[in-house]
Amino acid sequence: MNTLTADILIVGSGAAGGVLAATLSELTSKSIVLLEKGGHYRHEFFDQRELDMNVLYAGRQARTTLDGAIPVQGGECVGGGTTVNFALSFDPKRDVWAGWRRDFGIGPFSFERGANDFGITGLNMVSCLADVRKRINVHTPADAEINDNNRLFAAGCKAMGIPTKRFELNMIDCIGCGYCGQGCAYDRKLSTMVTYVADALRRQVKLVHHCDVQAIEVVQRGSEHAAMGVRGVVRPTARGSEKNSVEAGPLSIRAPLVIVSAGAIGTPELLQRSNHPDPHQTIGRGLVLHPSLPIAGMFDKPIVNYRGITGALYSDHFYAINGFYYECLFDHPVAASVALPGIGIEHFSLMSQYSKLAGFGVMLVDAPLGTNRVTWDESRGAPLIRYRVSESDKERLRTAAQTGIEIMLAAGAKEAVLTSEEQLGTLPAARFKNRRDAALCQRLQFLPGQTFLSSAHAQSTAKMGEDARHSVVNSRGESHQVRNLIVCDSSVFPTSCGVNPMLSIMTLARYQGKRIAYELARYGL
Amino acid sequence: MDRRDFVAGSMAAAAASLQWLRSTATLAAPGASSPAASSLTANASAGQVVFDAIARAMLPLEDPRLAAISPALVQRRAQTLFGLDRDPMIQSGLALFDELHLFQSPPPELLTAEAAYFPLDEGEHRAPNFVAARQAKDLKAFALFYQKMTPKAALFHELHLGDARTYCMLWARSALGMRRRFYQSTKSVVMAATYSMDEVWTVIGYAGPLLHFRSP
Repeated sequence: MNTLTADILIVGSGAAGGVLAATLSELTSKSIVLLEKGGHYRHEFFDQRELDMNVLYAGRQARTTLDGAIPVQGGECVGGGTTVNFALSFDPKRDVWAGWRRDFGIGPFSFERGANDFGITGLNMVSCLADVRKRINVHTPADAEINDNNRLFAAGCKAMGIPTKRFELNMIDCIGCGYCGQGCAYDRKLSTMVTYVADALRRQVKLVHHCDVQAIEVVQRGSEHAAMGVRGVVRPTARGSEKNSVEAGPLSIRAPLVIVSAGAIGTPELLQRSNHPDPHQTIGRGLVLHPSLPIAGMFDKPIVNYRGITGALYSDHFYAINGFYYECLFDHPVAASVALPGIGIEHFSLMSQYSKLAGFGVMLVDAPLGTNRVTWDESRGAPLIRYRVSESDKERLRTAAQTGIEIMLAAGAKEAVLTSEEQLGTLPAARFKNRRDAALCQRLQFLPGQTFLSSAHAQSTAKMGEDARHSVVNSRGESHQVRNLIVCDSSVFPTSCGVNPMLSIMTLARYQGKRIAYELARYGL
Repeated sequence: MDRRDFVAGSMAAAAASLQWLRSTATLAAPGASSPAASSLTANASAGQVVFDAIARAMLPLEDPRLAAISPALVQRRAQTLFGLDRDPMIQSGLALFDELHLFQSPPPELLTAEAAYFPLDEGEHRAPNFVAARQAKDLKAFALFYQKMTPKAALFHELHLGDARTYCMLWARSALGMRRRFYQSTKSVVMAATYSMDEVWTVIGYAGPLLHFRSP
């Protein structure tokens, strides 16, 4: 049995946990342990092969909703999602955070420069965002970095009168290999693994990876519960990972302050596994996934599609009214072959011309239905992710699909393709040769598993709120039920944060990290 | 429990396990010591025949550009990557897929699992027995398929290629979520095993990893 003690224990080393570890080690002299479920893989390990690199993902990239229909992707390695994402960096949306302040009573989360939130000098969202942007080099890519796939997307949008924008990205001197999703083999993407976690390790934070946290240890005194550490198991270190800081085997850590940053699936399942009191059945409820629908197009000539910056352009033209984005993305052969429609000759007619394919995706900002819920299933030893796409979300997806097909055709595609097996009117497959046929998208039923949707932005499963009947944590991220237990990751967003969530999560983590550093006495530290 | 019941029960369990087929995490065959499971292990070779036929239907192996790819090669890779032959649930799923009469009269366990994993959809007609209504839709589609089938066969792996592809698409477009799930999973396995091969990358014009700019 490994037994450790620390002042502060952080579960998860991704967008939130990495930033918290660095911030708390920067601003305090407290001893900190950082736990990560996955391995610690460095750039030498990233071989750019899709099936090899599924070790970087939760459930080896096979975690899905209960009906198997929607892959729920999440990073499970040091750096978490930031190690495997496409570096798409959206600032937190002020209107969304203002809405949360208004509707859920949370705050302050000020976006006013110079504001002193919680009475702490200089603590506000703007300064925290600035810190994060600087540390991970958020910038706009240059013209020369835009590949053919992105240019075609822009051309299609322009022909339709739809404005596009350039993503901001957290990279430095990208070489354009095109494998952000398999971990950056060149350390040019500035994930938390190569930035904040590295900073934390330099400041003597103890990192334990390959660590399955079984439960948060909670002590009950009278009617009050308080966190006092965690227990878990350290698995043997997998091939290719850095060495671990402790031996494989059972692990017990005593710490007066426990921060859970295990992501919007990992966090609620850990709370439930720990028998965290849940008098109002709020843990895990109201899951948001940002379902995304790929749209492909076949062009006459080979284009640069999988090389270069995968996502350089997007359009938020439909966000305000319809709540979705078009974002440029492109899949490597395994992911593409699984998603493209049909089988046999029909399927091969697309795959055999892989070099002529273009792609982008719809990202839907979905509503947090109470029936969409993560629950820990003790018998299976895995989370159950119940998720159905609501009728109103399907309606918006139909609009997004139709307009997406039109954009692809307007870009000059001889054929636009939906990743769907549905029979639409007289079309033999979801392949569209003219704009008239695009209207058939209105017939899409989105039955589970028939039209391919994916998800990489799980959120909102341990919501922040000042009313304990409808939330799990307060504005400080503190559990309503268990003292000295803080949740800080995308789980605490009361609804979707409205954009690709990385910077929203990192900014929140910087904010809470600074706050905790100035409020140590609140936690008896 | 007769074989049909076991097949259906296993299929339900397989769906519940979520990661089946798509993950190497299911390598350990649960319940391998139970009598029912060992009888299925004996049927693993039958499963191979069905998987071969699925690979042949899903990939256009008749295309000369794929001359180097055989169903046996796809199956070997699928086994290495996903451990298909070691998982009795998958073997039983393959058997269920193979027997065409089970499409017409599915075992009750399959319908029970359907209700559990694919509850009534908001947009679906509110029939008192929505699972039966879904199966009725599938029966209509099957009747059309059967009418055109030449020559008639009782098992999927005996169907001619065109009919085999149509049968796969019956599953892809089934009103039953369990059937769509099976199609989606087997397609994932076949495609992942195939399109992760360097030999196939050459055919489709994908140059693969770009690692040579990395300092040694």
